[in-house]
Amino acid sequence: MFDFSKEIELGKKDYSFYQKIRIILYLSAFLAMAYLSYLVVFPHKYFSFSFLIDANSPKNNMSEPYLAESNVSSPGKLSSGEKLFFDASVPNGYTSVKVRFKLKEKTTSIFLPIEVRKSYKAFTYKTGQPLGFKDGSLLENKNDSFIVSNGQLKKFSSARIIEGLGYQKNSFLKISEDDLKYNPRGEDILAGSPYPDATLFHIDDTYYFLRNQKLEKFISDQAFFLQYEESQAIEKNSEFLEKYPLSENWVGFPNGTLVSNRDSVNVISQNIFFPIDSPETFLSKGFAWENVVPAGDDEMSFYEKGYLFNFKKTHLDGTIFKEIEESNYFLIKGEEKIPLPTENIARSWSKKNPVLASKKGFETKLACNSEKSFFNPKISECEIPLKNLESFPGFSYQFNITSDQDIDIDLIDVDYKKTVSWKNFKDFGKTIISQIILNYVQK
Amino acid sequence: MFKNKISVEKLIILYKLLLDSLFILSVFFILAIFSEGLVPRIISAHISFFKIAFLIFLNLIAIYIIGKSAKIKIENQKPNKKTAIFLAVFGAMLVFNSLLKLKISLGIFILFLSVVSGYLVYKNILEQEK
Repeated sequence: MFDFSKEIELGKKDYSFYQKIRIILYLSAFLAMAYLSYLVVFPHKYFSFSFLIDANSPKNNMSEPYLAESNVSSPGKLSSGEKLFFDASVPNGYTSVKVRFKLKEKTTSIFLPIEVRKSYKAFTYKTGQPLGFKDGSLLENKNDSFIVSNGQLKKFSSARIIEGLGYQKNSFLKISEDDLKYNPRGEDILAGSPYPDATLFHIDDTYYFLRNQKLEKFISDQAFFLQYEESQAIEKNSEFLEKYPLSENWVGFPNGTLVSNRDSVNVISQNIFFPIDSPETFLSKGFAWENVVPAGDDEMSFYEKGYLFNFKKTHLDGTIFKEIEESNYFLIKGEEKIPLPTENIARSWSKKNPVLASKKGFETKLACNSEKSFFNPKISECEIPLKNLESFPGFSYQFNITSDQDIDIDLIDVDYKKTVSWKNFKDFGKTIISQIILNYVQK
Repeated sequence: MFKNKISVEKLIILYKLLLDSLFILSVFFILAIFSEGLVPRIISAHISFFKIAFLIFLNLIAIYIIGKSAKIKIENQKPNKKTAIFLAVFGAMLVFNSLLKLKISLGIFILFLSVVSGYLVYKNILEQEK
């Protein structure tokens, strides 16, 4: 082996001692590098939440646990029979997960099984009341024509009225009786009635939406076309602007739209844009690149900037899910999963492809029975293999536990592991190659 | 400083071992920087570069202190050309990698300035030593 200080000579005995220590040093360095390589190729992903510090502390890299399905935060105290839920999201590829609880006091409690299911957190929200067509939709069933205005189905009392108001014949979507059931009936539109709210206009190359009898401008043609067809807007000239006052509000992109601006991709929701922190987060939420629309600085200027949308964040209001098995659609709104009962209704809310979710994945639960740790009686832990959940879409794992007595939890640890296997090694290689391509080839 | 407690021979052994550990840390640092340049976060997700640099710094301090205690004097050596060329090429690759997102003309200009600055600093140090 090469000597970095040849000019410094040692006696025979000392040199022999030096060589032995040197071998140990190089061996230790080799083992350390081998261990680091193991961590790089077969990484663990750790999450923890401590009830002893502030929930928003950066040391808590898991979102706050909550009780039952109500999303009420838990302070760590669990009554007998009460269910505690917590979520930890990871990309696919992890083969098992170890869940560990540290309790305040030693307890004789044996937890009932710790359960885990895989889905998106937003898909686990409680189901709300079904929703009908979006405002502005023009619908036709048999010989009746309707407009959806303020959530209500308003019937045009005759074809002449439709013509007189300026609607185009081909702008009405033919629907079934079933589709009509979810919007309450409003008053019929009679001759001489003013334009109902939610009527769309095209005036001097700008699109408008009538709300509270005031005209709200669309921020761009793109914002209009993401929600409506060209034929739905009634053509008017600039004189029409004198009949209805202009509102100071404006109509932007539909909630849940993915927009790209400069180098980032953002999610739009409630007049705020949320930059997505990485391509991994984008893909982990089930988003698809073909659903991203480019937006200019002029369009983005209407929005405030929100927080960085990372792996831990849940889908925002306006996201539409589609259950793979039964093609059921859901709209996320106000921490509820609102059913959109038919495909026509779903299409009226978003023209882009929904996020695919699995009902079977949502209902499939894996479990393990936690046991007290041998070294520390305050710690209970168990490990769950994740193989049976791998095929389901989604990257959010929802855990729940129930105790058979009142307990006080200090800390929850979740440790995802990848087993050492040829398959995981090949997956690692593919990931590295795709990341290099992303860095150097794709712009 | 350590002379009374540890014999000079032991200090020399420690000195030589510290040189070996400095070599190991430097090789590790270069490999880590190269990997991080290719795939960001592949190393820094597990160990921060600050910690590696800090370890190298501590190692250098220890070499200086032990060398002074053992009164070790090493003659000034000519720079190893192979090592110098390797480090220069590696440094240029790192700079170039960091400039990839810029316009190519600006990137080449910055790279040229970095090479010229590096050469002038190196030449000044050599002339001072002479």
